[in-house]
Amino acid sequence: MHGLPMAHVNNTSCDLQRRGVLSFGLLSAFALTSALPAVVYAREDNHYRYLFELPITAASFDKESLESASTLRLELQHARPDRLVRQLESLGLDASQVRADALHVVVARQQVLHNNRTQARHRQPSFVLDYDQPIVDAELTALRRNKAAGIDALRDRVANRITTKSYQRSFDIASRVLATGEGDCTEHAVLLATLSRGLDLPARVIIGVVVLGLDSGVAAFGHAWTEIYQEGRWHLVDATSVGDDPSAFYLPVGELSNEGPGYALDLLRITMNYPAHVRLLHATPQ
Amino acid sequence: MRTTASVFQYHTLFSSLVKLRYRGLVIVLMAICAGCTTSAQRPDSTLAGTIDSVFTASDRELPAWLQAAIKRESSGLRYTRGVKLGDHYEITVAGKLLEQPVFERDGNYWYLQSDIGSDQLLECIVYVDERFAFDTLNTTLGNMIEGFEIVEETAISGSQISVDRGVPIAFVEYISRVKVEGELQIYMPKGMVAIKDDRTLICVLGEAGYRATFDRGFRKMVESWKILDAGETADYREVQLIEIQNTPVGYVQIQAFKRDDGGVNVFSDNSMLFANGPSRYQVAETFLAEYASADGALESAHSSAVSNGLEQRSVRLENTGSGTLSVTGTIQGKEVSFAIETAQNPQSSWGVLQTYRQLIGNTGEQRARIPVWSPDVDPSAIVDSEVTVNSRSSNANRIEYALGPIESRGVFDDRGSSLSGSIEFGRLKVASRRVFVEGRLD
Repeated sequence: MHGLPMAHVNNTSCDLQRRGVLSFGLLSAFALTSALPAVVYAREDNHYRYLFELPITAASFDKESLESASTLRLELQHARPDRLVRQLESLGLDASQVRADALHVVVARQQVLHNNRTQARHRQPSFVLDYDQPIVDAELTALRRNKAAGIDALRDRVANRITTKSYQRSFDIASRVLATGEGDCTEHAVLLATLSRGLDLPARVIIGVVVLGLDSGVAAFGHAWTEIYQEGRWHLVDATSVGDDPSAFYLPVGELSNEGPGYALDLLRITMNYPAHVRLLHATPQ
Repeated sequence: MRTTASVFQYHTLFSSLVKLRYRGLVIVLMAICAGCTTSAQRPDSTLAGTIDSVFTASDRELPAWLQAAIKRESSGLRYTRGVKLGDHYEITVAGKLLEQPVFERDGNYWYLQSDIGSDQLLECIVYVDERFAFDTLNTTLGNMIEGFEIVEETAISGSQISVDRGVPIAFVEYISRVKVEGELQIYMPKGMVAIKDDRTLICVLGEAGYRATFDRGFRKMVESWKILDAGETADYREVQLIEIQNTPVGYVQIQAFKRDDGGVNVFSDNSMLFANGPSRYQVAETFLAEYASADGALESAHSSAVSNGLEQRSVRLENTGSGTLSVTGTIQGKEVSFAIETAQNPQSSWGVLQTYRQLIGNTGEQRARIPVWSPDVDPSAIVDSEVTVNSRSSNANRIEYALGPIESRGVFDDRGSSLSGSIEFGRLKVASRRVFVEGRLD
């Protein structure tokens, strides 16, 4: 049994366990420095699973109950819940520690970070979101020529531009995504944010967890998406097929704030905050 | 039907990334793969049949005829033959050597074929320079499969990572349904790679079955393999096996060389190979060379990394003095150049090891902050790391190490070397354990 039906995975192209860099001092601080690529598929309890698929307890919920909900109340298991609470509160979420190893958080449909203001960096090219590179500039020129500057058009463009939906890339910067045409959710999020900025729409990359209904039940897994600022507010935009799923709820765990060559450290900071288990407590009907 | 591939025809399938270690800047070159669309190794025609259930079986419950094919073994290893490969190697070839090995000058490798009693021939390449070995293996198998018209998505069939007397060895097998001359056939290429004295030996067999025969034969070759033109022997070498959820997925090898001026050069190789879905294995390999002064300060360094056949990074750090470090090279195909202003010189691995030893041997101080250059996390900055000794016990010292937000724990011997360690990302647990050590570094 695979953790997720392959068709679903291929379409969603999500990626939860991020590139990890290990360093716990063997001969040296760097001795066990390793880039853990995007996704691990390993045997657990005699079954192969994607390790980014988070265990979730949601027995009394299904796809329909998620589709009709406006908010979800989740219990997240974490070794350092105080740290995760602080992190979620800094993003504008209502979170509180309930046990030594757990916290509760409320997530709204199309949840965005609380900060409604844009910063200069949300418009600028960066090492990761490198719309100053010729290959990205050519893509922007094509978009402008087609007058495809709206969020929906951008989203479609990214989905079509990444023709190979796979987990083979770890975390590629925008210029490389365009060069390879390959990626999972992080590549979709990075390219979408890059093209948005290139078209004067402030944008940022969000790393977190998505909860959604499958035919087999409710699932939770790591994910990446984009927030784009337009008409005075931030919009959650997901260029993977999860973005088309009306049951999907997005729990942000962090914004990629270091878009320089040290982006891996930022990704690790966010990934270390991933919960070990998710329990769906309550779905508030719309 | 036995296949006797021409040397030229087959070699083009072997793809690899070169790792030039001892030059100033690590250069990673993609080998030209001009003939990657052809394959000499053909799917076994005896395996044609009704195979619809192969790829739809949720738990890989293969039909009986395929299971029987996979279980095949041979007694072909009763033949062996020792050969000298120029001034480079001596090796005992498993199976019956059909032709003299050939040195392919363009690719800088020796090529040989042998009959191990399977329908297909075992084909091996022994490189005479350094390669990103796991990537070479995975890319080569991918090229072999892509030489055919693939009918359905290729699936992973098995992998195994081990360290045998200090030699890292990886086995990978795929299963694919392909069309050959209009006929559907099963193709199960398998390959093994070993890294010895920084050289790479890779063998492939394009056929279902013969796993144990292949494994035994390959390990015999590795055991007999002598590198005649090996470089200087490291003063200290250790190998750590890396596990994810208790399954071996890679290794770290650290080699330290003392210099005449009292300085130390440390070379760290890190290779990981694991499934990232039902259809593909993923590879990540990094190499870091550090040149340190006697007291452990980092004088210069270079680092390279590949992931699934693409170069991720190739950068060089130079200490230009007066508190400025320069980093130049490429990251994800983009040229970079950084100037790092720092009040504190970064420490090398050798410097960090000295700090470990001081903390372990000192009953007073428990904690130390160490500035380091860690290109895996940030090649453009010096990052603060923190070492904390939680408990001291003879050869079982418990230490925490934090690099920025990354926290890990390990058990260390009294020489400051890690015996085991772990780090957790959500429910993903990555662990290491030392499986080989030789020499001393003082």
